[in-house]
Amino acid sequence: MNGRVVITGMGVVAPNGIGKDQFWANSLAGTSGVREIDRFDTRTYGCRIAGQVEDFRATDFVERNIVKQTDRSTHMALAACSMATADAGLDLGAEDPEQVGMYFANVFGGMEFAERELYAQHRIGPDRVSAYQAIAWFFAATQGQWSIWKGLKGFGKSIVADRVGGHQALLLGALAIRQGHAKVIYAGGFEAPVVPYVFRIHETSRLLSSALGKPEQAYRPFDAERTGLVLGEGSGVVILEDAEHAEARGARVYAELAGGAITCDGRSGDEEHLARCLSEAVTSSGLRAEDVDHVIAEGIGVREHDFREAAAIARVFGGHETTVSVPKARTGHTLAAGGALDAIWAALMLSEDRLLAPVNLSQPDTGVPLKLDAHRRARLGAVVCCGSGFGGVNTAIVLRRSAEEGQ
Amino acid sequence: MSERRVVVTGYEAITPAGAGAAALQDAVFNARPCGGPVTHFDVSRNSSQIAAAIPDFDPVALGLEQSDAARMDRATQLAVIAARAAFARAGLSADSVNPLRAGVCIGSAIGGTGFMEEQFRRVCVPAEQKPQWVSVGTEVDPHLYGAFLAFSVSVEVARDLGLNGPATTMATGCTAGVDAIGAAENLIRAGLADVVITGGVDAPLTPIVLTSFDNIRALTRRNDAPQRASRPFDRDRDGFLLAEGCGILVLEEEGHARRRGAPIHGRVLGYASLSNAYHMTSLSPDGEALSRAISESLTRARINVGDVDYINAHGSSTPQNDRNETGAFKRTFGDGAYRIPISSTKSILGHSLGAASAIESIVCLMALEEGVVPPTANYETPSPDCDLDYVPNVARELSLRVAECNASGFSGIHSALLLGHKDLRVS
Repeated sequence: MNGRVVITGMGVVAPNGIGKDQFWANSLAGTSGVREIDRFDTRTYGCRIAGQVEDFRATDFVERNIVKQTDRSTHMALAACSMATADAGLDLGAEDPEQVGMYFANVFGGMEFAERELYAQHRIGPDRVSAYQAIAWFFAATQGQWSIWKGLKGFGKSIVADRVGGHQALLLGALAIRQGHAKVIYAGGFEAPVVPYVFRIHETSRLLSSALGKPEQAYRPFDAERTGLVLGEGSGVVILEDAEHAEARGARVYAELAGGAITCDGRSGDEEHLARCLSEAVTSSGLRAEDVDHVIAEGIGVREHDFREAAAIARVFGGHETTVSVPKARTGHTLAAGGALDAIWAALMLSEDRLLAPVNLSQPDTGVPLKLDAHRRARLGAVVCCGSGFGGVNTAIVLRRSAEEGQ
Repeated sequence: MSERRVVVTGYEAITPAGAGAAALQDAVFNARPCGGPVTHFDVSRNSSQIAAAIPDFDPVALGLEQSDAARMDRATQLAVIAARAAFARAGLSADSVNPLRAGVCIGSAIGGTGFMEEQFRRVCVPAEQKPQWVSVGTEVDPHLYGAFLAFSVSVEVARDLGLNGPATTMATGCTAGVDAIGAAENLIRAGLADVVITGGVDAPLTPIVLTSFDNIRALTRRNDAPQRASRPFDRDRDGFLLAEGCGILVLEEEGHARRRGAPIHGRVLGYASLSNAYHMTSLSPDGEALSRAISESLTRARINVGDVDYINAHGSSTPQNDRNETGAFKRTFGDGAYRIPISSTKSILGHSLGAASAIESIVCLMALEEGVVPPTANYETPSPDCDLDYVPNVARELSLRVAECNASGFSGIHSALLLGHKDLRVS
């Protein structure tokens, strides 16, 4: 692959902040967005907490009639796209609309919208199902809304890859730029899982936290007192841009998306293919393991998953100074948005030369051989974001300090 | 490094024509339309009450373990069964492929919605208070998460075949099949894999999916004549016939395929996809965006506009799509559009959403291999806005070198895939 791809803008709707600045400030402060669920009656649920975006008003970002025709996940995604555009200083009117595309991921589609319509279908009658169900629920709904809103006529794709969808959207979006499908790609993920049926569905994954009380402390990746996976809602979108295109318009560059890899465990259950994923991601970026300063781990807070991930990271980076963190302990795991938010944290770490102090980590588990005390200021060269998902899929992406700043 | 080229070394389909590529070939090339009344759920309050179902699909009889079948939606069952057959037809086995270099990228519009919806129907009750709408009981199937997940159609194939390369599910709705094939091609060209299992699958014959399309008048209402209901490009077309199906292809780097002496069914020459930025469901009559997608696929494949021998159209049988497509072909090929045979496989199989264009890509490979252009069934009365050669009702012998397969879907996505004869010399 040739042609460098850089990140020039970011938009965030997260449980700990809306917009890049609030998100980063609250991330530095360690503020948590995880709280008890009050949107629906959780008495029959084992998990009663989630990372929730409390002060998000869709109409602040999206036209009222479009808000009515779309799901909450789309609202948060369109808001992130708008913020990313402004953050990148991207004048869409000056761009060739056929060269601006998107690569999005989500896990559940527009299920908050669909739950009402499923109820209408099965308890009232099909004639009461909204005409907008057909366009609000399916996985590619958001790319269509963003494309039409801004007149973007380029390459657009939407994928589902469980919790690594966000990582993959950035990696495959960068590949699409390198292969000449577009010059600019909105890449990211979005999810609105704080809905009764989605929570019931997710309970069957047997991963969710059963913590009661102190919700902000419940999500404890790699900690001996872990309680399980805490879900969150939100969206994260970055502007991926062909480096020459970014340079020509004088764009600020947060980081280069230097490479990545996707692997599957197949029938294997151990950390082998996650370790291979990390190592191939580093190699594909033209780096060596010792060049990686920091890893943003997935850290779902479930014992065997955390051990497996820790073993894979230790296998690849263990002999080096590489530190590890799980920033999403502040927000809950936003599923397909998770990889995008991790990449945004990584890009901010690189551009601000700052790491985030661990939260909810009072006693690292003895089975976790990682350097989790990442509270240093340093000149960072490269950060890796990794994750795994259902069926044993692994994805890692590598962000590198932008060459424009000089090495 | 020399350019990596992509060939197709295996395929399999499970469609309303039956299980297997032979059943597909027989129905499509002999113009035997599928379709019937929907009987497995209540459609008495729907306007469209017909669909094209896969007859007597029994995953266990087709080789799936009962315990595996039980944790999968019908779509995933179809994908796993078809992928096994395509993998074997490609002459691949655990010994002949490096599993680290083999991935899966299958397209699906709705994933495991059928499984999810059935569980919802069993446990949902009205909520006691607003703003919550629904309360759901606790007695749901323990496999619900993985069964609903659209990613399962791909990752379960990777697990079943023991593949350790990349896996993703392309979820772009009605263009997902060719989009998955295009993404698979890109993975191989970029050197991220040597073999990718790709294609599309959907099992949308469920109450909410039928209603969703029905309530926006996208479906045919010709309930008294299901096998004549899908009539692309005909004057009396009135909407698409909802269908289920699965088409799986094995894409492989050409050198890899040749070194192991694999059967080569054809080439993937190029792929492009663009958005119309026009409307979520409506299409402009001039076909501008689809035309751009086809032109770009030609440019990427370095194929001249005059070298396209056959078009397998999206041809969904909705009034607007077939008009849009006809416009797009004229914009792209000029007067040449009148000389290219065009047909719609949906006239025979209906519209299986994300699976359709994958199945249609297999039909293109069959046409290239056999030198026969498949027909458009149910073509009776020419439509004033569709005046090209739609190969009415009877297949046509014709030596083909380049076939174009395109798809259009909600969100304004238009995608085009160019397939070539296995002996076509590529620059």
